[in-house]
Amino acid sequence: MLPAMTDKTINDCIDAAIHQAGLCQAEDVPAAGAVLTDGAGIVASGRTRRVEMNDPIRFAAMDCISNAGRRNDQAELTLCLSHEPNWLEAGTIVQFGIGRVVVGDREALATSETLGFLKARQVSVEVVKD
Amino acid sequence: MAKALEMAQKSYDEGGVPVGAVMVEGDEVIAAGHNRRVQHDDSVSHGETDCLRQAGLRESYDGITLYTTLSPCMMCSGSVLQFGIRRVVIGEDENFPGNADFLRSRGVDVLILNDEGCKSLMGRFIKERPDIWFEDIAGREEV
Ligand SMILES: [Zn+2]
Repeated sequence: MLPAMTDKTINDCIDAAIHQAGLCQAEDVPAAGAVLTDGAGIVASGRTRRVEMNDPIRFAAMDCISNAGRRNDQAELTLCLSHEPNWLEAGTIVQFGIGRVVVGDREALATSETLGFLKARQVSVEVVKD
Repeated sequence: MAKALEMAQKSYDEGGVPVGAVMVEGDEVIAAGHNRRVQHDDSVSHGETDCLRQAGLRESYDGITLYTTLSPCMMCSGSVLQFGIRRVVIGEDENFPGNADFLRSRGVDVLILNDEGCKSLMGRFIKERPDIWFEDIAGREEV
């Protein structure tokens, strides 16, 4: 079961994701951050580290999901992202069945192909902040 | 595909999920990888993503063909789209349907070989370790 989240919890997680984005090294563009939460607390966080780690797949959501370790409770987790997900991140969210995605970029909602893809594949998508 | 299957067998011999992948440019294998969920405790290291990692950061994936022993899950299919890989050769899609049609719908050229060696190794692992296999795809055969 995907736990309900209060607006405050969601906003705190988005703030944490944006904080993560700020930790990216200058050459790791676009800077992006991600936080996984179970609704009560932060399970894992991550940021774009492709250049930092010489790892082409290390986008923010991938870093975060990898940092969360091997698990079986993805359907109960919410992934908060500072930006709209790219295709690798969106595919990973769908394959692992992450229950909810919150994106801190309101402009992305109407136009984002990947957010549309997530919704079509039964991921709950919310967008907060401007 | 022989090299990809060799990587899958290496992973199996290490107790890991036996999916292997190679990247080919022209006639040359430029990178090879395999699933490392068990070996590195890393959920995002599937055969395909590990192979992309072995190749390191690249400006372009033009002219790259990705070979994988098993039809790609949605994470690995997402990596194909993200990096603009135009051609994927799949060993088999009997043990896991994967997302060949999704990739084709996005303009990727996909070939499925129906390879007996790939089928028998993966089939054996799924019988022996259904728990690890289900964890690897989060229990989601179809997404
Ligand atoms: Zn995969």
